[in-house]
Amino acid sequence: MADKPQFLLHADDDNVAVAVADLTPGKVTGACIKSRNTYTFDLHHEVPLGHKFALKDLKSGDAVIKYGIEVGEITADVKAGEYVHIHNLRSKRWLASRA
Amino acid sequence: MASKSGLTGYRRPDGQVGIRNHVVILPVDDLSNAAAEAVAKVVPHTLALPHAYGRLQFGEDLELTFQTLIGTGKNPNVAAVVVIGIEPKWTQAVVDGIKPSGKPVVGFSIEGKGDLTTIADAARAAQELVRDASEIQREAVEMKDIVMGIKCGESDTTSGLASCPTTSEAVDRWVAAGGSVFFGETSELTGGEHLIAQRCLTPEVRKAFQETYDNYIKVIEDTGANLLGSQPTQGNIAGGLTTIEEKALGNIAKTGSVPVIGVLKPAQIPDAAKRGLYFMDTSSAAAECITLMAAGGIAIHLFPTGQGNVIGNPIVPVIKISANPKTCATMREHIDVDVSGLLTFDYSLTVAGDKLMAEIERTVNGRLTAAESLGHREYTFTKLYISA
Repeated sequence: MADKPQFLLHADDDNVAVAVADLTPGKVTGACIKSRNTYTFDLHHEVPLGHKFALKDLKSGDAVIKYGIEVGEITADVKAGEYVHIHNLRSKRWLASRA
Repeated sequence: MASKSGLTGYRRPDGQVGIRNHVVILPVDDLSNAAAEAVAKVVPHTLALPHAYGRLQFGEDLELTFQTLIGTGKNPNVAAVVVIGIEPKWTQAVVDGIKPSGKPVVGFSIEGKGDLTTIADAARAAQELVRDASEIQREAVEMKDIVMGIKCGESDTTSGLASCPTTSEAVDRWVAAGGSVFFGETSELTGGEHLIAQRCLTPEVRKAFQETYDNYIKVIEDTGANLLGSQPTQGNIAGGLTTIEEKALGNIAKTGSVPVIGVLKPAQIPDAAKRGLYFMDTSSAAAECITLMAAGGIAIHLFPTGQGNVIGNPIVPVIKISANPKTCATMREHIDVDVSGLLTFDYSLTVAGDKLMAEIERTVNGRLTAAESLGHREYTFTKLYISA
């Protein structure tokens, strides 16, 4: 990759990536921080530094994978390139807090 | 004077090694804060440690407060201690607890005398202790002599990507050199607790870890309260973190790859001969966690942050590491080590680890951390339940 990565994955099988700059919709290029494999996606939303977007279409109930490990589940369908945050992702723990 | 490692420190009578040389004025209870702070004003180079508790506590909660006070006094960064309490019995209990460390410790109680006489008596003692402590020389020490704590705070996704892995480098190097490291934050392992369980050295350690973890989670979940918005915190969420699982995996990314050799109760001091990575059962709140670890004997602390936690500790230098370029720019006075270049592939994790190790060496040898230089002295007790 010639330029600095715009987003990073923790593992190649993650289905979300982290923006490492404030990103605007359009073509974005990034890499996996471990393997250094590079990826290009069409981003559909603005994603601020540190926030995430989906790398594939995800349906409500699908597991969100980061670090190659499940970190929660999708609560509203998300398309590849769309912003993923607490409005469409929740923990599978703290179940008593599912208010 | 410097050893092969280049590190210097203060060797205490019990063999523990400190990297600071504080004479502490330690109030047993909230009522004695005023007298303790007055002594520290009268006698420069002493350090008062005011706190909020110590009255009408009972059972396990009282024991933890005593253990925190006694452990603070025994901490190797402390050269000598003046204990001040409202009444003589608990004051003496704290003095007696610190005594086995072999360092000078004296106690004063206020009832029957009042603050002013107590302050005069305690100040005279403190003056002698400061003068004596000023003669204690730094000597060559090794990494294995220095106990390290790690805890992250106001984490964001850059923590898991870069500042925590950098800390992990230091943890692995410290343990490889024969040193000890404590990590804690019990609730913040949720979603990755199995990863820690797998790293426990023996079935006994694994069982102790699992029981400690399960108990903590039961206590917080049994409150019936909504944990969302508290864990992860609002700052975590603003920084892009979403779930406790996501936060936990970032947290665990700082714990190195070495086995977990033991499980410590809050503020517990481990056997100095058994060195390696320890898990201590603590709150994930920064000041509480570091206060408990300091009572357990850490001399230095590594603190990765994303959104910019400003925590310090009165007796333990806290080194802040951040990879969030915005935080490193806007909160520069709080950040000791900027590893934001990891996010842009400017250098490798090994290089970031080298950078952190260099900062650790300087801090051990006396360079003030950002938190020390800004006067951050958060000394916060963990309370297990209501007082009687």
